[in-house]
Amino acid sequence: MSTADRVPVYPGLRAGHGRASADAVTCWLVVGWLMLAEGRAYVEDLQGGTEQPRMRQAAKLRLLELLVDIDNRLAGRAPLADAHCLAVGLEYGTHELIAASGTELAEIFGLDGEFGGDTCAVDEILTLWERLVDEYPGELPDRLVAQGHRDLLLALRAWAALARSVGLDVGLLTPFLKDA
Amino acid sequence: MTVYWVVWDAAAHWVVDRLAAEGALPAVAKLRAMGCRARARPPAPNCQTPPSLATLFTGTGTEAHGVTGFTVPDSLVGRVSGFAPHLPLVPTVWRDAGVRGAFSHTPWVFDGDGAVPASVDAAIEAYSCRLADRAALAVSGPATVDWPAGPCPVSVTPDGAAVRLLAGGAEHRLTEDAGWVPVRTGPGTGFWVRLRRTTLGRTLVRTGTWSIRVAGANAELVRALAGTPVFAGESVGPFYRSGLFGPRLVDGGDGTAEAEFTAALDCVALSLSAPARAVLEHHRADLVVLYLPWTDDVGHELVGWCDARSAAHHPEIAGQVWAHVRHAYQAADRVLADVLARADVADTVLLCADHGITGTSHHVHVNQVLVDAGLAVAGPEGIDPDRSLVVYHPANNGSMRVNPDLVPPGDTGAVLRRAMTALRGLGPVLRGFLDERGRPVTEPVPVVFAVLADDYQPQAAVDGGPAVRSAPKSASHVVNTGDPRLHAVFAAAGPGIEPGTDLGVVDNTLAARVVREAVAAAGASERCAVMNIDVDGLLQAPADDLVATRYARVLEFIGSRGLSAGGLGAFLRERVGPGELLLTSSPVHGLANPTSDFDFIRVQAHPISGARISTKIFDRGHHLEVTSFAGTEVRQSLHLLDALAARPPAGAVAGFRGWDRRYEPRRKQTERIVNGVTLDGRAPYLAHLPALARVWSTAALHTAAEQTVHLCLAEAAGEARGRVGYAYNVLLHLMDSMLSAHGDVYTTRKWYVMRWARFVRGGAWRDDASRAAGAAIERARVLVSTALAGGAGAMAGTYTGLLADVARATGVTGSTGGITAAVEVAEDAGYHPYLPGAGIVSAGGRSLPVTGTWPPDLPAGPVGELAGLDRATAGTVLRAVRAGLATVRIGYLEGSAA
Repeated sequence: MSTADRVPVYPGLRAGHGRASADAVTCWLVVGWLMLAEGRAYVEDLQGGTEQPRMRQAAKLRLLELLVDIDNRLAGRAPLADAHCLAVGLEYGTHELIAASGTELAEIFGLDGEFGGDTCAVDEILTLWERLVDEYPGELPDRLVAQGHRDLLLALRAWAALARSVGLDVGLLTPFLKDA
Repeated sequence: MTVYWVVWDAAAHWVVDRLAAEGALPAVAKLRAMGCRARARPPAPNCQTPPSLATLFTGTGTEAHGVTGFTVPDSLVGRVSGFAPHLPLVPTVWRDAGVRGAFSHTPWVFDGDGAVPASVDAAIEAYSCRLADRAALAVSGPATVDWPAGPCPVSVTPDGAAVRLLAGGAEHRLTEDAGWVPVRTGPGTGFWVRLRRTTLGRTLVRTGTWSIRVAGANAELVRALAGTPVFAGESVGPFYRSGLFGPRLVDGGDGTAEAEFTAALDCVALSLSAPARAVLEHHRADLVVLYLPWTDDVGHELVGWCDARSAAHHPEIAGQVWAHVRHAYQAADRVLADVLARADVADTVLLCADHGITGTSHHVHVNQVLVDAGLAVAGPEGIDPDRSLVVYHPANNGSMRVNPDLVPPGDTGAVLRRAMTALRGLGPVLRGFLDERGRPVTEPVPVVFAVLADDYQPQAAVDGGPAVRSAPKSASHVVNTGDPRLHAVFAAAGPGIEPGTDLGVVDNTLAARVVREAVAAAGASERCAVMNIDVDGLLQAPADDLVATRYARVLEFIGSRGLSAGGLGAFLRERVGPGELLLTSSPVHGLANPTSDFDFIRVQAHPISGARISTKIFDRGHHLEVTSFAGTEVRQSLHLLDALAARPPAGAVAGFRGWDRRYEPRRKQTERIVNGVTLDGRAPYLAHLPALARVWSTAALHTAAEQTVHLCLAEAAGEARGRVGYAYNVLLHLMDSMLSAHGDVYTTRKWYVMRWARFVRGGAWRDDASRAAGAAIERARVLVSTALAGGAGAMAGTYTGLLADVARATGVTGSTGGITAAVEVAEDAGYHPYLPGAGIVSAGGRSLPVTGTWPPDLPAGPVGELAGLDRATAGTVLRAVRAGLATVRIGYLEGSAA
């Protein structure tokens, strides 16, 4: 069994750790968006760029940074600037999205290969991503295909109602949507 | 590029000059130092606020804009507001085609139906909808009383020392020490109220009640404006004059009345400053107009007592009164300071006033003179139009005219001559007459304007009293007598405006010309003039070659999807409308793969109306995305880009990082526009590539420097793997900096390594320093992964050296220059002891336990010095930076910028 198959995903969710309602809703709306928008885009790059290993090398670093950011949010911490995500992930690992040490993350993401060389291993990353999507609480729309846009609009409608139910405005996602 | 136009109502040049000389107006001083200054003549014959603003905003005189007074005569005694939507008769600057404007309480933006043109980014306005005048209510007895504010129900219930006020569904408990309190009576409506002792006893005093209206295409700004504080359009001058707060200083008071007037004026300043600041924060406009009228309010009530050239001057109390004038102007100066902070080097900032102001000691009741001369008859509501041969118009704009219903055309001149003779009987109080164009006349013309001596102001009321009597207000501005005290302040700074210039006396039509020219100049800026580098020089090859190469890539990409450029263009025009279509991103750079999408930017001639939404098209397996911008927006961003390129490194980076909060197109989209290729093989914005290269290269180097600092701290703190995370990013950003410096600019990070490898293979280094820096990056690149296994030894020295090499090679620093680093603890950081040897540090709503000394003693100097920190200190600093309690500041040694 590979490291990507073995590391636990969403351990806090599985354990049933609750959070204050507004915090929880904010967190899961932002995480949902980051997974379906940015995460899927990086994974598409990894899947589609088979002839472009150097593009994949940079894309997988961005994906790892994103996963550390998501982990941080799921843990209820103040958001960490992009500049530190990779370093913090490699040094301290992740805990809420994936229970993995820095060494295990480096292994999954194939960081032992030459940076900028002419190969790039991504199979373990794709395995991990598949688990993250499968075990995510709900079906994440795929905005990169036509049908996914309708699904996304339906999701945003549900999210707006969800946000209102805890006294929030779904506009909290605006900065993330603008960056997408 | 944006033109910021700040208008202080009645800000006389002499008042502003005096305050500036005292050092009380630092923003005015700064603006004057940055640009030019002048004394601006208001319009004639009348220089009340509406005609003066009309001149300011249209750049024309009264004869053209037709706004002849605060109210404008439309018949013998009929009149309409000078702010009526059909006025002025010539368009304001912002009605000019293509000018996207944002407005705070500026007249003539909303039309008669309360709508705004599509070109309005956002606007807020309230003066045209006053629901109720100021009011005072003596509070006595326990009973609840109704105290409606126009249509808005308000009830008042005494409650011991307090008063409970119910309005808009909310209850406010008012006490005498609470000061002025905002009360909303409904969405966008309300007043400010104060409970205090007055000559009536315990009294509630409130400002007028207004209803704001907000509209525009910028939804974010519209929301922000709608959420600004309760509006108060003017202070409580009538109560101040009537002695409700006790006698005025000029009447023997102790200053209490002035303090109350000023406290109410602070509500006005607050309610007008807030929308101005919202506009500054959120606008996406070519032109921003901020109208700040409380300087007029304080002028009328107080400035005259301080006017040494006026009979209204009261030297014994002038010092105390002037402090209140200063206070009001300083509030306006703070808004100007915010404008200057918001404005970029490419922006133009103007400070204007509509007119000045003079001390006033007396009123002249002109109609009373006509009645006394047997030329007019008083009626129950002023002059009786049915029995008067001549009337001084109730609009009180200075004009007299003959009644055509009673006077045959052949007698008009004789009757008017009699009226002029009667007025001349006032002696030196009358200075002469003007025609409708403000020219002196001695013989009758159809409409004659009476010009009084400066201490005298006309009044239309007729009540049988003396024609000349004391004026309750200290200062005014009605007929333009030509006195220099009526000259308005004028200052402007921006591209093309010579700093430190004094233009002397100018006409107040100048401002509109400056604004029009500044907006037009931005539109004309299609080349990177500030750089003095052309694209050929940057690329060391003809720009046409690059365009041809890129177009060939574009055609190959389109062809690989089974499409043609012509067919694609026609399809998109049908779906998204006409405009200049630019294909952007990976196909242009020769990086497209089977999953690449078609990303287009479309530049349209007209302003964007409504929300800005990208159009996504899924068609036969293709994914196309089109983002549209107005041509003016694109020109604005390109102008900003050019301006940033001319800045020193730190300034360029600050502008780069603040870009997306301020401008559309955002910086990534601007990069796409510069690199974009049309479907017929043109690159219409490529002239800006040198500026793009300079700014993007500098910004990437700056990020690499920050990451190098993080690397040094992580290594010193013992984070053997964390430092490698930073090292990856140092390498990526140094690659990007080098590529950008060579004209290969592309924002998306996933392509950095691939582009770098391609560039290294091509070997097109611009010089030996670049070649050497490139080789150093390559050596570090190959080894970085091994550091994860502990095989790279110390990294800080290698990476700080690498940073310095690239800084020199890209020209960001000179050959002898360097990059410095400092770690600054957040200004609001507070340390609270927790346990022996530890405390909690909090800043910006975040907290973190720290051990050891706080704040830590940190070196500031070359980047590498941070690598020498002891393990504990480095760990504390790194954690504080990650938690947002401290910030890494990158500096560039003075004189080292290339």
